Amino acid sequence: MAALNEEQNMLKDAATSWVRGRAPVTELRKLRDSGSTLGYDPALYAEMAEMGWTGIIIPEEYDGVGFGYRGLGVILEELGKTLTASPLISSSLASVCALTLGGSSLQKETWLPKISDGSVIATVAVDESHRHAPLKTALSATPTGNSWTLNGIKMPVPEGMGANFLIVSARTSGKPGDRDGITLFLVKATTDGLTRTPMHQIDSRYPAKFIFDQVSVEGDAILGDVDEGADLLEQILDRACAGTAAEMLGTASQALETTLEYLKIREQFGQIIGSFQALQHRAVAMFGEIELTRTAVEAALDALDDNSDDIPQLVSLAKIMACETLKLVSNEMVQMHGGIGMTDEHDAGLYLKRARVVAASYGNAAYHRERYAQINGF
Amino acid sequence: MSEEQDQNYPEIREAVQRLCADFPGPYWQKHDRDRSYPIEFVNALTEAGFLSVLIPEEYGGSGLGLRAASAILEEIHRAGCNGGACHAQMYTMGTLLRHGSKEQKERYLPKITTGEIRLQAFGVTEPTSGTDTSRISTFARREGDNYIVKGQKIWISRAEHSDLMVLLVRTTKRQDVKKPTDGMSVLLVDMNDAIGNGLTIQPIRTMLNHATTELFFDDLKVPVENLIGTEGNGFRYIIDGMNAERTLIAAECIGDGRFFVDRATKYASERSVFGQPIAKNQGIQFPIARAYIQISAAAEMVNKAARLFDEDQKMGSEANMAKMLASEASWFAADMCLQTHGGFGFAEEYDIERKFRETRLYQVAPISTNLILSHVATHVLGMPKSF
Repeated sequence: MAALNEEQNMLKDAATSWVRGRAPVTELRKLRDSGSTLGYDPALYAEMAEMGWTGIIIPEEYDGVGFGYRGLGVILEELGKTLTASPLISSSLASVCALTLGGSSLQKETWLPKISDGSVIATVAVDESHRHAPLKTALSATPTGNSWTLNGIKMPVPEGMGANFLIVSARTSGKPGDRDGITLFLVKATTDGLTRTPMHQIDSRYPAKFIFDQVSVEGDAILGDVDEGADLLEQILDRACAGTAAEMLGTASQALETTLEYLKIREQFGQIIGSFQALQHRAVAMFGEIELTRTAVEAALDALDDNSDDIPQLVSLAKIMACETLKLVSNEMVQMHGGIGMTDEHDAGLYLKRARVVAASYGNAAYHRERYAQINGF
Repeated sequence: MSEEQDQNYPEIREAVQRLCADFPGPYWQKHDRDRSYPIEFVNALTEAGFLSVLIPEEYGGSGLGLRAASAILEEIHRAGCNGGACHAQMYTMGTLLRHGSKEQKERYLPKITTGEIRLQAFGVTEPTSGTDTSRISTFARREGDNYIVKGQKIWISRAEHSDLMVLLVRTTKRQDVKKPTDGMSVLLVDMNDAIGNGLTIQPIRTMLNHATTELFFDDLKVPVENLIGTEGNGFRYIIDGMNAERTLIAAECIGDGRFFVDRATKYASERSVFGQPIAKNQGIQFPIARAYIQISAAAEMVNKAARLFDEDQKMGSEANMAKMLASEASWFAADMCLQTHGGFGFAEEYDIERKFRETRLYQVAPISTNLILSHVATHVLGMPKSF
């Protein structure tokens, strides 16, 4: 692991102890069994906000702490370890970036302090089907005087059930698939004509399906420039993706950790199963993959903090690695636990289910491979 | 080992094993070092009649079929030998047998049976066409009683060790036919006449001892009587030969895989490190077991493909699948065996590194893995062609 600075170390210590004390995997079970369709526990999120995590990448002038992407990555990794559900990525990472990179002074002043103190939750609504394809945006926005009318569907929208406002990608010209003609809008969740329904997911989250039926917004709802939102959108998604990869890294390392603990106590044929080479070697192989993924995730987060020009490549690389590694480790977690790993009582199944969902979040490995190949001119 | 119980042709297998015992590791090591043709081995196989099992009895062969041929090649490879020098003598004649005239068959097949004539070169691939066979450009223009051939072929194995070659040429240009596969024809080229009279052979050195070459045709005359079947239908004539070839190559991979498993099992059981045979380690014995399992599964598919061929049923997909499974299983086994032997695996005298190089070929030749996946995707599963 590359060295952390003093602030990042502090964040890591705080996150480690908070996650262990306040958000163990049992919290996810409680959330699942509660019947709530919010998809996260607001009380836990309020605690995160109190600790300042919701404002990690928000500049100080907007009441954040400005600790950067690496700092947020440290926290997301810890949250990933216990599968903690929260709007931290969609609100405090993706939406914050949308505002800091593309927002007007007024938009920033209005929303950033509220996201920072946790009183407002935002999310970025891009996908319109189960396939992540940002440029395929079809939801239409047509101008009428000084306002715009939005019609279409957004789904699945992460943490959409708790969001107070959405950053929506809409098509203002051209056809789905075109790079030109995408515009981003800020839309309050309570706007007339906008309805949302929860989508039940295997990882106990509830993304929302939003239907836009003649939703009218004023011209000042536009984020960035009309028809030229694709670049901004990609920058937002890159940041969300890097954070997601950091969370996946945490999930994978805990899945291995839990498995290793089991290998050291479970006995078969009179010996601890961890003494079998066949299992030892596979555990070592997983460790190797996790370390490699860590390097890729750190490189992506550092590139974001340095604003270097290879951000897209490094982010896609990190997401690919995180997807492959977490898939491997979550599969092996079940396999190495044997029968007990198949039960609901054991956490292995929760890791497996979360691994599958988060792999598809902000583009799966296949999407990012294709993107990586295109960026590099393969 | 248990697979012996259900192996077919036990007598043939035993006879091949006895023959191969006369060609131990040092024999192959020497030819490998010199990149020379293992003529003694080829002659022994010919004399024993092993290369004519696919030729019907009326032409002097034993007419046993593809399962027998597979058993022969599998045993050759299992013994550490390599059939690559002559396996094409078995099946290249298939094009002649199935599509040649009575006169052509009577003239050539009996001599192919005895080995007097070697027909083990199959001229299809060209530098610019690769597997996209309809794009070949070697052209045969009719002039009186002759075809005049101009063009180039590559990866033509055993061209220097063949008396006859089955050559695929265009007799009508691709742009002038309805279907891209129309307009190709098959010629039987008499190599002894051709060399120096319009045909130049250039050997290509490779990472294994495999006599492959590049051919240059500069107005080579081939008598019209050497045309197989009718002009323009040649593509169809070579296709069924390819299915036999793929199945037999797959059988060689099975043999290679068994060679690697045999050697690894023996070495791991005898070699002692940290006071115990290394085979006692799961890290050693499990990969050997996995290789054995993969080879056993692939062998079933090879068997199925050969049986369907012998029963005259459609088997193109099975031949392809058998080749892919067998070549991947043998490659896994090769890698496993080299790893099991540690440093010794790299020593020539163990034959592991040689077989390792040899078996790697079969994921590429005679058809690459990707093309097999594409075949199955489009022709078996009905998905759109990807290229």
